[in-house]
Amino acid sequence: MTLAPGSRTYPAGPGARPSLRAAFRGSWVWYSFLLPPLLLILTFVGYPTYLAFEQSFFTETPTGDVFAGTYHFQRLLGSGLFWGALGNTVLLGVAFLVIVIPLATIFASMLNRIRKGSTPLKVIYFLPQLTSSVAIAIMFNYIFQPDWGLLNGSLRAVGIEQVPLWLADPRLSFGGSRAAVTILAVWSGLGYFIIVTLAGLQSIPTDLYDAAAIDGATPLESWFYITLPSLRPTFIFLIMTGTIDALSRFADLWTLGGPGGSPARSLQSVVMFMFQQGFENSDFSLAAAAAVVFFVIVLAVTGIAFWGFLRREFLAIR
Amino acid sequence: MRPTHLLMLSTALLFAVPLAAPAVAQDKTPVTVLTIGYPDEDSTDAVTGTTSPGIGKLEAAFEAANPTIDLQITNIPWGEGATGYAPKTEAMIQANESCLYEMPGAAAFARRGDLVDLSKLIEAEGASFENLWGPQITTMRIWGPDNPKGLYYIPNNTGERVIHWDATLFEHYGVEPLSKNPTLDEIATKAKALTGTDPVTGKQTYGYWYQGKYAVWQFLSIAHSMGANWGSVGDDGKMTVTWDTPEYLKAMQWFVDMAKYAPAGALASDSMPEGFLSDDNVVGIIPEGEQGYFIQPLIANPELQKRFRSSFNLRGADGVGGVATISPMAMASSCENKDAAWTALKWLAGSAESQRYYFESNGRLPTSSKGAEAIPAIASFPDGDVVLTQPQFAEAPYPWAAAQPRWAMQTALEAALAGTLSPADALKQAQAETDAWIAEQQ
Repeated sequence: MTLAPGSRTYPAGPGARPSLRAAFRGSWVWYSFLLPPLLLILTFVGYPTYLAFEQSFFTETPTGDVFAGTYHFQRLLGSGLFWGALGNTVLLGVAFLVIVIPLATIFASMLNRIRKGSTPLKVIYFLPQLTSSVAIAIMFNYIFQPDWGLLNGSLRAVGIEQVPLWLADPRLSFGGSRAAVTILAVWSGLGYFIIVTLAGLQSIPTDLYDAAAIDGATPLESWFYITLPSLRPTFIFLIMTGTIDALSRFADLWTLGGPGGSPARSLQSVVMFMFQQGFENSDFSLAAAAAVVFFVIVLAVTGIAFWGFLRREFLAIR
Repeated sequence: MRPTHLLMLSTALLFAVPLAAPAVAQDKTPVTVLTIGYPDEDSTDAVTGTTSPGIGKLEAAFEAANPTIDLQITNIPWGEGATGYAPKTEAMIQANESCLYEMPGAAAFARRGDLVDLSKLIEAEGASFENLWGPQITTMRIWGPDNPKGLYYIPNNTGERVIHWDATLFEHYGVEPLSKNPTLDEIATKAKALTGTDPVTGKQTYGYWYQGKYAVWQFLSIAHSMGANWGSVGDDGKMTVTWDTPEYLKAMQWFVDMAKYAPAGALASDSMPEGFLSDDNVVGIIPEGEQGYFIQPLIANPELQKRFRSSFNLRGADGVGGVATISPMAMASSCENKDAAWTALKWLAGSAESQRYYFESNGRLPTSSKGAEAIPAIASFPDGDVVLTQPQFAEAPYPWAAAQPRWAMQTALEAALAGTLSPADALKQAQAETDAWIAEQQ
């Protein structure tokens, strides 16, 4: 048996493992490095999360907080506004993932084949990811203005007079407000999805393609029968992180739709609902209840994705 | 010098400087203020060349007039969403970070008991109190836990809403100019006449305009002129809001009908029409036009003054109408230097210097009697009488202006304008959502 330099061996057999204290004593330097970020997480994530959970069970009154049990959860679950915002969030998230993942796979596959100039293209595709979502939303606000926006102006310039109303149309249509924000999200997020997919592509052993070529597989058949199945963990990762991002969508929708998710709440997400209840209506208990329900939903999505899809991969690399 | 001596000296200085610093400012009483949306530094508009003084000018003018008070201003931008003024104000109130607040949502904070009832300070001052704000001191009283008709803020400046109209388009179509106090019928007739192809330029023009994301204000102004009344706040603080009435239904039907004479994308707009204050303007009548933002360029350009005119906003039978766009200045209950803060609040809301500053920095208009004399440029404006007196005819501020009744009505109105709900159904939806919110108010 060969050991890496600096690694330790322990005698085999029951009771021979080092005690927790001994293990800690040997690694205290590394734990101390982890301590500052842990404290920051506890202060700025853990404590506010605890406060949100606590607030959801109390009602704020001028004389102090009064215990309210599950009252605010009942209000929340009976609120059409909450369900509308949740439905919107899910709809926009699904539309985004359904478009962006296939598109990213196609682009990444093409980039993977390019021998020269792929790096500048990767940088260009990734740039929107580095741009502030508010700045992007302001830019798309100009693009999607129905009367004088860049997109409709271009359509009119090529002779199309019946142009979509985009941000002025709350209907569920390909030329409505939801379609506009989906295009924005795809433009903004595509670069990240391409880079992750490209990393997945480059981790596929070339032997598989060589074997397929010997067996007479066409490039398209190799793509369908080797590339796509091999990208399964990548897709699962993207679906998981993309779902969590889509559920917590806020800044761009707020910038385009204002506090009420204009027009006619067609752009209101769950986080916007929470924000509006808390900071516009001063109903912090309802906002906290929404935050708790949202936390549970995200936890459930992550749990299902992990136990259903990723556990096998994690076990495989142990 | 040895390194150890240098270290000792540095350490001694490190402790000595903070200890010595307060001694310098000890003879002044500190008063902290949160202001919103003023320039941090002096700046010059790249297009008009208009200069805007930074917030430091206001602080310096105050301290020159009140040498015993150290005014400490925290100036924040209006912002959007999570970085907007609302969460920042909330955070500062909860952390007792400021004594005075420019506070657009003052009514909600007053209901929570976070603000000082200024009427008690006025009473304590007795005859020496100089009322520079006239009847606003009475009309702006709202409900608070310690006084059902308390005065929890004084306006320090205001925007205003007027009816803008493009005299050139009226001329091109041969339509009589809009009167100073137009009626709904006059607006409807002339808006229809101004919609079409401009006989002179050949451009498509529109008779009417509304700012989609803020359409609720125009709607309320229309409805009030048709006799609608949103409701009231009782002595017990309970609010009654009635949206689902025949008057509001008639107003919404009128608005939806008039929207046909506006550009199709108006619902997506959050500002004046594209091209406003330029030769590219294609909109004839702009009810609920935002005057404040445009006074400075109009004053700077006499040609624009002739083309872009102002008429009074719509009024109801009570002689008032249109949203009050005042900026409320309030004092936090947690303020430790209330006497000095009260002196500062009166100066910030009433003095000629402060009123001049608000106008020069942001185009905000005066709310106190000293303001007009401080800004003579407005008086010489062609529609100067409209600009100077319109704020006096605005409705009393709506206590729900930053709460669910507004969002409920705005959303319902958007749906009606987009055609996804009938006006009757839209009002029912707004009423149901508002009732649900009211039921939760303490």
